[in-house]
Amino acid sequence: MTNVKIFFYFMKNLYAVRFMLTAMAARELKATYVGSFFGFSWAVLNPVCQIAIYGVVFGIFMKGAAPPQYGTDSFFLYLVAGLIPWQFLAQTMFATTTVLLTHKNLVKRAAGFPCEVLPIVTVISNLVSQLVSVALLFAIVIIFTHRASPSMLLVLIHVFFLVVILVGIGWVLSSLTVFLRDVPQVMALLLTGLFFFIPVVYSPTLVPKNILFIMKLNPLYHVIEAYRLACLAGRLLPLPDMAYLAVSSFVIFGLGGIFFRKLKPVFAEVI
Amino acid sequence: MGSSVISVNDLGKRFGMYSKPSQRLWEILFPFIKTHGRQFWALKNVSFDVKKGGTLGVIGRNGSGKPTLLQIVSGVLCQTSGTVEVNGKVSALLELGAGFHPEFSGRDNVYMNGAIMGLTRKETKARFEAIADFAEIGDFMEQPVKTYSSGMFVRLAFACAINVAPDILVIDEALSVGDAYFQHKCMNKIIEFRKSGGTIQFASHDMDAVKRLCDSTILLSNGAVIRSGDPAAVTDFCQSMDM
Repeated sequence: MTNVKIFFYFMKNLYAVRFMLTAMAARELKATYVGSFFGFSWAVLNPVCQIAIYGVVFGIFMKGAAPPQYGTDSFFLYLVAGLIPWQFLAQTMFATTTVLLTHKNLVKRAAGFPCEVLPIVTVISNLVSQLVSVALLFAIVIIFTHRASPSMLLVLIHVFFLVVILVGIGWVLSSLTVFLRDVPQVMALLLTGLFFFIPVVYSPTLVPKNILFIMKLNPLYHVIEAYRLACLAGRLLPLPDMAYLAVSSFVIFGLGGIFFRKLKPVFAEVI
Repeated sequence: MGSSVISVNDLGKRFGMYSKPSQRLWEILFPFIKTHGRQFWALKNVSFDVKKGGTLGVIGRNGSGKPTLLQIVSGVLCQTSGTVEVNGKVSALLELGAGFHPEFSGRDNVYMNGAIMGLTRKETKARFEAIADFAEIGDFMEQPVKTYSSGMFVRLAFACAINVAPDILVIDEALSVGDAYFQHKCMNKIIEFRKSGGTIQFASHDMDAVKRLCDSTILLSNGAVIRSGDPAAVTDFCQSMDM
């Protein structure tokens, strides 16, 4: 019960610092691109190049077949609609691991600075790039299918759930890194594993039934599935999957918050 | 009797000295595991009150626990035992410019610093003139902070810290920055802040400054308060102890 109370207090504080949150996210975004030759165009260039690489390798060389439920037989579209959310979640998860260390000064020295905002700032600044990528995804789908439908916007619901999950995971990863500097290395490996443990570049029909069942325990599986259904078929996930995604994302968020709050008092001493 | 703005009761701070930070993690997550970190009490049984508008001086030799005490009051560190009640917004002149980003201009950093201190963009805008006037860095305001001299950096940081409308100012030797002219200017600003009803906690080795600025003083030695009360008496005692 006390954990719940602490958590509500934690949330109230977060609401109080919303100005700080947006200002810092804007700065982080600017800092990513400041001084680079292409500047903010990287937000488009990066996904375009990634799509080109994966499109050639997995769409042409190792051409798979798209499962029927998405209403398209283009494996390329199937691939792109899965890659876009994957990029977002992989980049964000990796970036949150080191966020407390890179903002050492604020954690250690700024009076009363609520460092729980730092992982959120990382998520928000990556979210901006993700929204650009989603727009790109819409453009690709429209160009390839010659169809535009407003039901594609259903994707935004899943962007929301993904953000909730990423903040929760970000709290855990960032606070763990303070004590265990190996977390970024481990995370890089884990993400490589995860990339192949979610059907991003292949069709789930290739996976044996009992392994697929385990894969589906991962809420991220459903996020990627949901992106595809929304963009390609204009549909939402089946109700049970949707409910599972919604509940698990808020559970991850809540547990992540409690975990962070528990470790927070000693950050300034350990970093 | 005014109401207490800072109220510290039986405060203790223990630092664990662990060979690896991960030991700490296991200790927090699994309280039943006992790792054998050595422990060191930086503060013990510290109690004091600062009333609204009061100025408390904290003196003591190096290693007596002054910065630890200030860090706890300003909310950077958490205490191990006892209670600390702080009513109002604290601005700490401990590590000036902690939130500054070297790649961004002075102006950007002023706004960012405001946001970190809980001001909206509008509120910072209203204070921007005052900050720029006080910092006296002229056109450098539009240049990246990495191009600043250390004096310019500190002037801008001080100007930001004092202009966020705090209720409480926590100062640690901040006046030893900049040239004599700037030090004098900072001192005037601090006196002005006190006149307007602000509360100050001030740690220093400069006995004259403590006598001039404070209305009560505590002397720390090895983490405990060994003398408190009138600044003149406490500073005299401190000096006699050194001899």
